[in-house]
Amino acid sequence: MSRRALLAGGAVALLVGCGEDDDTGAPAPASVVMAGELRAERAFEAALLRLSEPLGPRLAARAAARARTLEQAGATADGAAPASGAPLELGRAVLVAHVGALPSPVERSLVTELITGAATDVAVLASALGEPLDDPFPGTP
Amino acid sequence: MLAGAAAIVLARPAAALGQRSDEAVLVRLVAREEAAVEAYASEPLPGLRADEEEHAAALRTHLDALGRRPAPKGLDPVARRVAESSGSRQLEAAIALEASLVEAYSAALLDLEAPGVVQTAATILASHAQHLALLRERAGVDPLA
Repeated sequence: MSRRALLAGGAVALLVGCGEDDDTGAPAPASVVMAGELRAERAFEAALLRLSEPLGPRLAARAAARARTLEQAGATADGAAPASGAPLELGRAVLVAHVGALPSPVERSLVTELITGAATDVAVLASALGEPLDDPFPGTP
Repeated sequence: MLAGAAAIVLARPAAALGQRSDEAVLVRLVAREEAAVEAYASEPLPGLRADEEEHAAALRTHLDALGRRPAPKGLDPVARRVAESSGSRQLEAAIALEASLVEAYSAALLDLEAPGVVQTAATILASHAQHLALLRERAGVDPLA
């Protein structure tokens, strides 16, 4: 099945999993969804802090700001271990978390801002690392 | 039981209204994407045109599912500036086009209802934000500012 067909079928929601309750298929509570977004942003921030200046700390500050925005909106850490990995991989995971949040009751204007900011950061990071951006649908798992 | 029946009766018009609202938004977004495809005939950045083609096709698939086919609209004013310029002027025009698409999708996401459509639009928003960042970088403008 093509990515386009997956998107058109709404299968992204099923693949992401974080926007829906596993048992009922109903939208997951906002607190659960936002905890996933927060965890992804914190993992991205930690990975970026290991990159050299000036870009690493600058992007890390932006990820930290998004995490604070989520906390101010009510997100709390859920105790799960933060993901580890390469910064670009974790940045892409942030996008998956934010896109996957949209069918849930999380405020849309907030998620829209988070998607725009994280997508910008992933593009800048990929460019700095010499990695191509060849995905027309970033945030798809 | 009466309350349940009333809820069903009330839910149907609401669902139909939501579908009509999604259709209207999708028609506008397809028009914007198709205009961008046309505008990027000479690409200011490799891959832009192919991405917009993918976006338009995905959105058209959603419209087809709703039984609606968008009429071709041609270039909108922002896309026309890209098509009719070259060099650094074209880069500036492309930045304006991508910024306007980020705005369009941000607004659309507040209105769309069907979860599958919402998710597609969200990924396309991310794509346009990335285009914007890369074009700004190409133009020597700080993409994080």
